Amino acid sequence: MFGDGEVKLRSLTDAAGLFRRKERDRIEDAMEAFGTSFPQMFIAVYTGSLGETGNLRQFGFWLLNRGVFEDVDVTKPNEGGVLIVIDPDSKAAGISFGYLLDPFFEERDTFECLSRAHSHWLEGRYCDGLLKVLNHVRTLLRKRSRQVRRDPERYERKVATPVAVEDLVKKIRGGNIHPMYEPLRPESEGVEF
Amino acid sequence: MLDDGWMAGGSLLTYESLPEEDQAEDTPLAIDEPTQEELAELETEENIVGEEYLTGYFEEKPELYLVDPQSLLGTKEKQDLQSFLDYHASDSSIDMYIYVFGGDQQIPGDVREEEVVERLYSVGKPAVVAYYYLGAPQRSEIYLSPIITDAVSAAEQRRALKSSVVQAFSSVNLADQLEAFLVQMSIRIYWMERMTEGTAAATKEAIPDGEEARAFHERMEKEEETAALPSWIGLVGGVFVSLCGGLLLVWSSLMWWKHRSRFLFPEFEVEPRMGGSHAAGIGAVISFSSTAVPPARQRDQVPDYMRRA
Repeated sequence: MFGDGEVKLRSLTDAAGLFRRKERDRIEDAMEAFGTSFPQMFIAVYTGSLGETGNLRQFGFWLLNRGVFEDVDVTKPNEGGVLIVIDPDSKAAGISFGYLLDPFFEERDTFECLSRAHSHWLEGRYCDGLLKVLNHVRTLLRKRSRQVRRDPERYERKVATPVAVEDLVKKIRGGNIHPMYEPLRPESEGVEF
Repeated sequence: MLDDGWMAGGSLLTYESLPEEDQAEDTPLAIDEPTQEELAELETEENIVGEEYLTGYFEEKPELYLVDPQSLLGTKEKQDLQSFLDYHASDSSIDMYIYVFGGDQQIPGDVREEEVVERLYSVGKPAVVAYYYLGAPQRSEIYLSPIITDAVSAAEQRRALKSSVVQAFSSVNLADQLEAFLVQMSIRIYWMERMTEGTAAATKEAIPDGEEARAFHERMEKEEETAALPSWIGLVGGVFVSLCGGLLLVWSSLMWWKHRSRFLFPEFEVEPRMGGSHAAGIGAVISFSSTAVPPARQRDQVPDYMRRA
């Protein structure tokens, strides 16, 4: 739908022309500060119209997988990217994020971030709204960083690969039975009603 | 032209000297010569400051603000006035020098007061120099350092002198008169200071004069009392400023530490989804098309197929 090849772009791509020069500077400063605080991650912003058929989520997913952000350090792969897409025509915005953030970022977190900008974007103040989003993403990730340090297993479990069915069968046959699949005990078989 | 050959302006046209006019004979005045006593009295009437004191007055810039080489004031009075002048100097950006003369004394004609002020008070802290005649305050004169002459108009200088003289006459005692003169002059110098700072332009015309001076004097004395509060206000202010400075320092350190902080995350192995090689984190989408509906109602829910299994 959007293309198979790589897309070269800058981390702040204002295709819709929403930001003035000074605003761009402010946003870039905030993005740089984010990159400094979180050395594994980066923020990318895309503004543009996706058209009537465009789906914001699909576009975000596609861009974060296909995009080559020229001004982002090579040590930061797209796995550590947080992409914010704003479509001023359809008046919608969304967030996509890479695999690195998968365990720490959830849909409700991204909604919380975008909500901060809602009143600003309603008034057409895209820069202020975007800065609010960035600020909240930072706050949230700082909090997550502390939580991960305290309890890393909790987050690891979130992304742990589910046990394959055949592995489970093998375990059962081998006598290593999961309590859930444990057969009924003999005494329970003779229950009289 | 006249018949005798003289014509008007003729002397200008010739090189010949004018004809001598007939000298009128000197007629002695029919009055007596002054007596020796009268001559002596005339000399004493014009009581000029003795030459031996001129050096003390006008040779160089005085070390003390009260200049009284003739010791016309008593020691105690001198000390009191000197301490007042010292206080004034510590509190004001314009010093006040008082040259004390006898009430009937005359400054020698070869001493030019303006020249003295220009010579001694052109450099350094600006000053108001007052020549005060004990017992005759109305004879007093003031001169300003050249640096502040432009800022303080002649009219204002006259007003300052006049009101100080009025204050001086409020007392009978000579030393008290001088003290009242100094206090009032000190107050007027405060306004001069304001003028030199350009802040009193608006209030310049409002400065009271003459009979109103007393009320103004009282008001200014109150202001001086208020100004004397800094002993404790200064302490409180100092503590407050220190406290603010400390808080600012702590806050700055905190900000700096926050700015320098780096947050690292463990890199867990995440199984790729939906064919995404780098990302499959599908976050929220919100619409901002309606001001009437809250963001939660404008939230576009993630379809199930996009959620992690």
